[in-house]
Amino acid sequence: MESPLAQSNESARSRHFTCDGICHTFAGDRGEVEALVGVTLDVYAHEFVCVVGPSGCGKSTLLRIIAGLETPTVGRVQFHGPAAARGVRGGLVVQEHGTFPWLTAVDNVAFGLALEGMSKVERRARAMAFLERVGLADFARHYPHELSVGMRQRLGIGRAMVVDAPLLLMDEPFAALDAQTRRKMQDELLGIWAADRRTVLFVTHDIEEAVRLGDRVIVMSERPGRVLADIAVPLARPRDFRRDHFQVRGIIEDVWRLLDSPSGANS
Amino acid sequence: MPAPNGTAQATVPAAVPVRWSVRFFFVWLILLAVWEVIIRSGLHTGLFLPAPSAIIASLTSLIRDGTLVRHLAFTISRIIMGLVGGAIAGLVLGLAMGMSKRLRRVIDPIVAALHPIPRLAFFPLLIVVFGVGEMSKLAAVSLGAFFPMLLNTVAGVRGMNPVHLELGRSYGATRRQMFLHVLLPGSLPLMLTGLRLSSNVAFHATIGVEMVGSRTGIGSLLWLSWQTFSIDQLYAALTVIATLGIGLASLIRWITVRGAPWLAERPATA
Repeated sequence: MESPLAQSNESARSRHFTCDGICHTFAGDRGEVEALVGVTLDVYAHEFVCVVGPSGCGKSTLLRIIAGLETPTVGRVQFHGPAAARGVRGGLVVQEHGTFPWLTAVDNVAFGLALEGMSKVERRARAMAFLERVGLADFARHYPHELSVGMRQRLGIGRAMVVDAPLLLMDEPFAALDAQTRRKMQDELLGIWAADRRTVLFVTHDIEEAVRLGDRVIVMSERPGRVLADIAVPLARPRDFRRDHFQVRGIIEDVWRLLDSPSGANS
Repeated sequence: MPAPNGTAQATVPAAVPVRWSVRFFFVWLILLAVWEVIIRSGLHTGLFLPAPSAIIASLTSLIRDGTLVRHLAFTISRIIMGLVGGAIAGLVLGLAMGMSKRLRRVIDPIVAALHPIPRLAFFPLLIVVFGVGEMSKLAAVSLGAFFPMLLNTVAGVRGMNPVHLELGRSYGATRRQMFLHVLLPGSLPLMLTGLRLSSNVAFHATIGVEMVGSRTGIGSLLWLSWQTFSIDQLYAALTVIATLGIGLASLIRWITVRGAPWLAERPATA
């Protein structure tokens, strides 16, 4: 599929967005909770970046801030290039309930297009093309509850992608899946992604998942979350989980060492 | 009250208990036949329990002289008008209350005090205000239909899955788009539950006000039957009321299925 997002290699290193010294504090019932401290991060166009960290480290908060759902207490998110002009933050994929139960599969995918005022015929046609990409063309008229959990997650990805958001924000999308489905979905996600290589920010607590999928793995500390390390994953694409196995294991161990080191835990 | 919960969303608004099934007719046919035999054989005088044939005769004469159609037209129009008026008012205020905390804080105490009062208890006051004519009856029916719709709409809006709201916002949806494309469909299941409960109350209230203060409608026919001691006609009126109730429930069920097809196709064991 021809996509306006696909660009040549030399421009691939242009920055997509920057997180600039983001601090975030939640005002709770029992005082304030520091979630993020001084998170600075550059994400480049067409890059697949994974953010990994222990539960409660604020990685989801970071994603919500980038998505524009939360305003950081300090710092800001800056979009560069065409992303800034568009104003669209990005397609959001979440762990559960990432589809609208009152819409059929095809209308779920067409949701963003409906908001843009596209005609029904046109947006259904576009949505069908995306349903095909996520392997759900035969289920266009089904409601989400009639799909399996894995299919529903694929639908969520299709729904997030069709808006032409150049950025895909994924918040532990596979965390609720069993190991087998999860592995399959990881493989499928890379296949879907390869078609136009949108920038992806993928949040997970699973180090193996992060290393398998990402071009880069951002390792975050325990709460309050800050960036511990920014690890490049030098694995060839398309990824082959079997071929990459030993290299992946090595990188996972590096990440573990970082998390176990005294600087990894905020005591 | 079922709480909407994402993709595994709200349960189906409870099914209408009565369905036109073969079993339904079979059971009633047997019952009426036995009843008929008991009366004809002289085991019972049939004074308070007239034979089905006598009830049917009464029903037939009511249909022939146009009495039934006239009363039925009054009753149906009161139910529909009262229901539409009350439910729309409840829907609008419910949506506003669901979205505005300030409004909820003011109106919640008022609802809490008025809601427990039996609907018919308002009728004397409504007669004082609106007079003995049609207006007071419609007001009583509307008032009855108003509360279930209001409470369920508020619950529907408040019970929206926050993830769906965030998904909508992540698309950069305007307030208007959020309302039309996310909030309204998201809270529709409970609104339909509200409609079902409102239709019940509207039906009951209509028959009630017709018995108390009206010369028209099935409720008045029922009341007249006891006053003139026409037991056959009393049973005929009851039969009509039962049929009307089932018809109304079927109508609401049809609306529910049409309005929220994603709920109707759920397996019953959700």
